[in-house]
Amino acid sequence: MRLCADLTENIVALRALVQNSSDFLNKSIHLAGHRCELVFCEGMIGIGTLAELIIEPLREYRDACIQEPEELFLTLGRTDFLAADQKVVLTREEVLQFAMSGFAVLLIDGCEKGLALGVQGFNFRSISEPGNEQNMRGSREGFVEAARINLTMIRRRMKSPHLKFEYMNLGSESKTDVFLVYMTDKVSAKVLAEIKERLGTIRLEAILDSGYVTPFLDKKNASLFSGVGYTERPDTLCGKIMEGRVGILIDGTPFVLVAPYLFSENFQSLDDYAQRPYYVTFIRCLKFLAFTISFLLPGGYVAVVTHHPELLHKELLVKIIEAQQGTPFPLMVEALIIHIIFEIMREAGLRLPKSVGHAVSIVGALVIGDAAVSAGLIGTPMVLIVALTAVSSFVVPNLYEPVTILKFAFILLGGFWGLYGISLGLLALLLNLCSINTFGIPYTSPISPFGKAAFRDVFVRASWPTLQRSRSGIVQDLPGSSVQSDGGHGDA
Amino acid sequence: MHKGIQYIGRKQFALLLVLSNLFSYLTYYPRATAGQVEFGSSIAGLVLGNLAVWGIGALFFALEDGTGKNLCDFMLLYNRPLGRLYNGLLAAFLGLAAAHSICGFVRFLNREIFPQSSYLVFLLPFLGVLIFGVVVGIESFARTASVIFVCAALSVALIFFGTVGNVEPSALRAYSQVRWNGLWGTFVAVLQSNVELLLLFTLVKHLAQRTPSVFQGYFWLATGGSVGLSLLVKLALGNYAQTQQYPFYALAVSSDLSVVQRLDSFYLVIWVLISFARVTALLLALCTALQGVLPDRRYNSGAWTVLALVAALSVAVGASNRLYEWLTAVVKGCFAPLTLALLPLLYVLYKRATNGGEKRRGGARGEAVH
Repeated sequence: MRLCADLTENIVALRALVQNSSDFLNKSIHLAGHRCELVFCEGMIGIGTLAELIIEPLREYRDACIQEPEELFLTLGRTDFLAADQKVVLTREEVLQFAMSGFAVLLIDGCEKGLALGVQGFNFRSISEPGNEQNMRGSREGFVEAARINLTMIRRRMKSPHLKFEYMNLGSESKTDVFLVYMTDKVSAKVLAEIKERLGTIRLEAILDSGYVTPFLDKKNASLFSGVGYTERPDTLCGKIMEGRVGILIDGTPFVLVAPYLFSENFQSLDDYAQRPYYVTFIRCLKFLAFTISFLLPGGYVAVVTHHPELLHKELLVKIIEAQQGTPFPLMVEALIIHIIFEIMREAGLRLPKSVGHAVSIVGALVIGDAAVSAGLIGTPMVLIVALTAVSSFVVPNLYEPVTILKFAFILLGGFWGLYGISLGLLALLLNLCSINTFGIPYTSPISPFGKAAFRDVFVRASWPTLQRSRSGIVQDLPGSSVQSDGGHGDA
Repeated sequence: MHKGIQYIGRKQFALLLVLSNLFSYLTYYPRATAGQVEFGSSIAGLVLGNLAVWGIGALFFALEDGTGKNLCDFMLLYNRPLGRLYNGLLAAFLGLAAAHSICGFVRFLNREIFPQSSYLVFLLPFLGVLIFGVVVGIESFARTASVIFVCAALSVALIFFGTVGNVEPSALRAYSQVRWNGLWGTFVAVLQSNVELLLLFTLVKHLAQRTPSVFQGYFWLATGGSVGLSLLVKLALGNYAQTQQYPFYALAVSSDLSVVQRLDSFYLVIWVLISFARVTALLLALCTALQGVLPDRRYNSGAWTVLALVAALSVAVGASNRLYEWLTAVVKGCFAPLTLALLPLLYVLYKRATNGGEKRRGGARGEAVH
């Protein structure tokens, strides 16, 4: 509803809209003989900033001779307030939105417009090292919950005129600030338009986390794997947007979404580009091996021991038989039980308060490591399998969720059908991976469809002089992509 | 079920055809009634047979501007009733070929790997994965097939390194003769078992860039692979190969890399992948042929019905040796009339239609001049 000329009516209506909430404050001031109100939310603005940048300069106009409220509004609008962020508001809803975003809104009696002045002073977590993406080399800065602080971290790293932030608002009640960030000379207009269109379909009342937005971006994807990634690191995000991707910053969460996101990116980290290529190649291969072990090892072990024991070396087979002799459960059931117990312990360790968290590790070691084996409920080789599987799954943390589900699926397949079941499971997994298209780009590119140039940064990491010779890093230039590189038409 | 066009690359298409061809060698077994063929004759017949396949493929591409229109659409374009009939026959043949391939693979599993289990234990989950492969569409399937090809190449390399120590070059000397009977028999057998031509004719509409070079790539890889594998079997196993139901599996079992033994279960995984590639390609070609038979609104339900029929046929044939032999005879017998005899006929029809069009245009020009 539009603001009316009567200031009292505006204030009453605004208070009614916020149900007379105690954090909604208004301060009366008189300027040039006109009654004015400054409207703001307690805790969202800096009181000192308000006093220094707004109240103090406004004193000049206390005794000014300005007849019309509109003229006063225009004069104040042209005034050199130190608040660089000034916006004209026309509706009561806009007044509330700006007030709740840390603005002080100046309303003048007799004027149907307001002036929103940016004096944000809310508290936010200080910039610290991201907890989920640690590197050996590289910066120690991670994103914080305040989106506008995150913008500055990106801008500090990319002093390019092509870097663009686009603002939008999601959530009918939460009105969460969302920023799209991309390089206008690298992004594909089609991908950008698709992302905006999908974000436009969100009808949620509140957006409290990036996870609320991901399913809308990743629509029609019934796979375990997502075509939308996330990062906590500003340097990683800058690398991604330099490849033509779009970052989606959401106020209230330090996790920034990245789209499109490919399968091979799960095995890349920023350290890979700071270390020597031969070492990074070794680490990349190790990550692929660890990923394969994490979901295939338990099922493969069950399949081989149950259905194909002839594959094992004689001495190894004897050891396994000795270990399994006294256990009451079939190997498949044993594997399922021990992995379920491990997931329970892991989840408990995540949710427990820190003060009692150490008790979980003690109990876990006792329950899984010692008591169960001593009691003859599980065999020692199975404990080793669980441990190796767990460690391998933490090598690629981005894929922990699909790996957990796949692990159980392959245990069942291996238990019922042996290696034949494992191969059918692998087929289904391959088909599923290859059927995902993320914004017109095959999810498994450049592995399949195979791309020679882009392959320099998947299993092996070529040196920087080699990488800089081609545009292989641009995501829409990857083989199989149905979107083209616009090269500067991101604004279209 | 995907109905529209999805495009795949030339290399992906060629690899797909090669995988389908490789399947024939994995599940090949010498018939009890077949006489002993000289090794030289079989290799010569193999090469000539593949050359003939290449020639037929080249003729197909020459039919229309060197790009080769999809055979189903081609037939519909020039004679709609005949085209619908042909598409129906083609769909039926492809369904029979798919059921034959499924049963061939399951029989191999039942005889060599899991002799104690019922064939249904392996057939039903395999059918489930096949249906999934058809549902995701040819584009995703082609990407999967590229990965499967890498695994297949790796397994062939392992087999080679594991058996090269057992090679006896002297085994070739006794069979180096080439005789006409053996050559002709092998030549016909290669043509009869080559369904890749029909896959080419049907699935070519999904090629982003339709050029004859895609079939050249298939020819070199398939011929090289088949000759290489045949040579390896003969050199490594000698006369022992003739006594085995599945000579190539026997070769794989005998491979020994010293550090790792009994790799046959690893090969099982790879061969499941290859079998999946073959059958899914046939089923996708079947769905493509059905588009020329069924009206749009009935396509989905019709395709699901036909797939269910193929699954039921596989279950029925898997239970009976006699039915399997009958199906083998039908599949191998239908191939020639559907391709070898048909293509020259199509060429004649095409030329007639093109000449007729030119005469009409020339007549109109003549009238305009007068």
